[in-house]
Amino acid sequence: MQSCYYIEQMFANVNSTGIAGGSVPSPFFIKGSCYDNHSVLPVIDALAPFFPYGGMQKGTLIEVLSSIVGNGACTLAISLLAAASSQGAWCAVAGLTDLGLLATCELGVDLNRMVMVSPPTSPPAPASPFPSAEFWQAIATLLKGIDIVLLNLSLQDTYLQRYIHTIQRLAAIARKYNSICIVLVSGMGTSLQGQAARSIGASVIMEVVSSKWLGPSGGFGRLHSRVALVESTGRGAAAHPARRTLYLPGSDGKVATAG
Amino acid sequence: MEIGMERTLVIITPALLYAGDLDYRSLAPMQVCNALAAVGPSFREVNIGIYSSTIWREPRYFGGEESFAAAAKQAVEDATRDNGVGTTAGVADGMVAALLAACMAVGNGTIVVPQGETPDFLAPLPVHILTGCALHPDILGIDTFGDLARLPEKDVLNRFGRNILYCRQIATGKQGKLTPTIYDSIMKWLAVCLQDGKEPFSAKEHDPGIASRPDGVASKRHGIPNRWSEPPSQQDGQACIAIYDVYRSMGYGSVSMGKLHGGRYPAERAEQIAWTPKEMSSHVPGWHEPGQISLGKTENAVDAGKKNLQLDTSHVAPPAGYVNGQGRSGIGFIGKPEVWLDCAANAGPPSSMDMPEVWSGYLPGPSPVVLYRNPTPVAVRDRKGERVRVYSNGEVSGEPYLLVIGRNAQVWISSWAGPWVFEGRWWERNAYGSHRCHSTGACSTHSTGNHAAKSAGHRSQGKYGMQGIQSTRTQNAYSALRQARIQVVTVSGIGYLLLEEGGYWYMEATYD
Repeated sequence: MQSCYYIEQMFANVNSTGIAGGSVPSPFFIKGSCYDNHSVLPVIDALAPFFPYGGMQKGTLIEVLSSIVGNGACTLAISLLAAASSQGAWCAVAGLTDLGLLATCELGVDLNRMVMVSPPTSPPAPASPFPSAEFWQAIATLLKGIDIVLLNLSLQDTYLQRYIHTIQRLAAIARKYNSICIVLVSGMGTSLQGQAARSIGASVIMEVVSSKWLGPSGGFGRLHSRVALVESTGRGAAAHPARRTLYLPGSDGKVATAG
Repeated sequence: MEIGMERTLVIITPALLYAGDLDYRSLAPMQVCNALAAVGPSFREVNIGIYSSTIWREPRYFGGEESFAAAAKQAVEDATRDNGVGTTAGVADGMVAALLAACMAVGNGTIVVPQGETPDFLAPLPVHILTGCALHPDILGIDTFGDLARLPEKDVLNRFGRNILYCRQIATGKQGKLTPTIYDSIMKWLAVCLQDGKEPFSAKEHDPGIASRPDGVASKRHGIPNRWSEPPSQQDGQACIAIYDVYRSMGYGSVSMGKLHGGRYPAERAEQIAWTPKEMSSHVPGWHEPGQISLGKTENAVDAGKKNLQLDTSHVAPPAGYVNGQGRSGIGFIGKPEVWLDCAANAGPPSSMDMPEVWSGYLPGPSPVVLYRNPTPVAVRDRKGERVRVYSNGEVSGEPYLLVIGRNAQVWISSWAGPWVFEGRWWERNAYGSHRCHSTGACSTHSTGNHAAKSAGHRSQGKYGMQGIQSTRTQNAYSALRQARIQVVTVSGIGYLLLEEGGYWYMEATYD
């Protein structure tokens, strides 16, 4: 595939020069050791039980799934950035053109350390759901300098199947450069249909199983908080499944443990 | 009026600017933006602790620029629970002069520079504030802005280059835009002046060590290292270079950053701003954008700081005649629009979670995570299948029951809340006409002749081909002054924020 070709080219350049594309001043790409397996970036307290080391392990791929669009997976994915961002880590959100920045700020993400990447499109033309080759190349570049890259791939499972190998190459880049790649797959369908999403090979897979909004009733109240059941599984130390009920978000806009 | 020389209000909150508590720094800016939104619609966050607003017509509403500045200052103090360091406000022509005025108003003051008097205001100030180490007054005899302004423009260009020419344009009141380098220089100077509580221009003596490290102020006050004022780290450099690489490969508009500012609903309170290489100058030491005006000929502000270059803080009193007094406590007519939402009065028992709350003037949180740039037209119907309308008194014509998205997608609404009515404020520039065009998959075609109206700034409406509802063109621009929003939850548990404008509904956001 063409997108894989670009990733391979990126690999070739990196291996030969140590620099992305061979065009970037080298002093900026002096990275730490990628074999420091237990170095983690922090997550908020409510999400710490889902990670074996209490935080997101550097150099890994994390996946956030949901069967339908709109049940809180996006909130969950953004909240993974909050603690690390507030402590100085840089974050990039790719493919989420319509990200609500106020909610992002409420979740605790420092907007001064977050960039959003999306293919430039003219307003009347809707963005294509299928990532272009340039988009994949941009993600690979970001993984070399940004601590956490959140990639929105809300595609149907049959389409997602095409990109599994590309995502796995991105995971290799993240491993090499000690960064974290979070893949958001929202609206993948039922569990049986989500086989492709689960076969990406993520270290930790978090899934919003169900959710319910609390608050509004017949014109009274407001959207107060959402209670969501979140499950996680993964590989290695994260293989032991975890299940928590979270406010996603709570009334203050932050993610917290429910009950 | 010259571009960049608009009347500008700047609010500085040193308590926030130099706060060491990271949690406080991450949350307080939003509270400040909320507070400022109640005062004016154009407030922007320049940096954490520094807020600016281009003054449009607001002072007429508040009774003058001084009152407007005082109201904004009071709102910030209330939001930050100012601990005594002192929030200041400055009003002047252009951003640079307003920022300097706010810096000089340290001590809970407000300085208002009358329109057209900015050169006189700047004249006695040391030119080091903007130029850093670029000019050497001992050698050249150029001490103040006034000295610089008196030099012939042609000679300045030939002798000192474009950078100092830009400073001269500021000194003469022809330019007022704030560049990253000038901002860094002013902030460094402010940090020096604030150390030990000394006011700007009155610090006769200063510690060169602290002068070279703005974070010394924060460390000294709080005992906590302040990473925000530290020189850019290698991590910042790596990130910015990666972003720059993406910017080069994908083009302008592909990379953006978020910015909070004033407003009453999510779409108004934050926006995406296209990332440009200018951002590099604040995060990457030594970076100079090709063609960018940089004030230091050989070194920028960060490099200057590393070499312990001292900034001159010789005493210069604020010019006489400018307002420099205590902020007023009066908020003005719209300062605190507190209205109780009395649920009991609306014939329906509120649940325990729906206790009456103070109507803050904003859409209540939590905010939607997905906010559509181009809201999708939808149709909202009641149980009888009729369109739901929001009347001017905030009542709905019927209970929302069915949400029609696009041509065929219909979802049932299980619960809803609202409406929140937002009356347009008369000083808002965009209030007199919306460019939104109601055309969807449910809209077979645009009404004929609408594009002329659209280009004229009026709303253009389509018709619901599927629904068989013929919409009428709304030529009355004043109808755009009122919007209403409701929150709905569908039977599948998804929350949406719907916007009603001129009788038409749009899906504005999803609570994903």
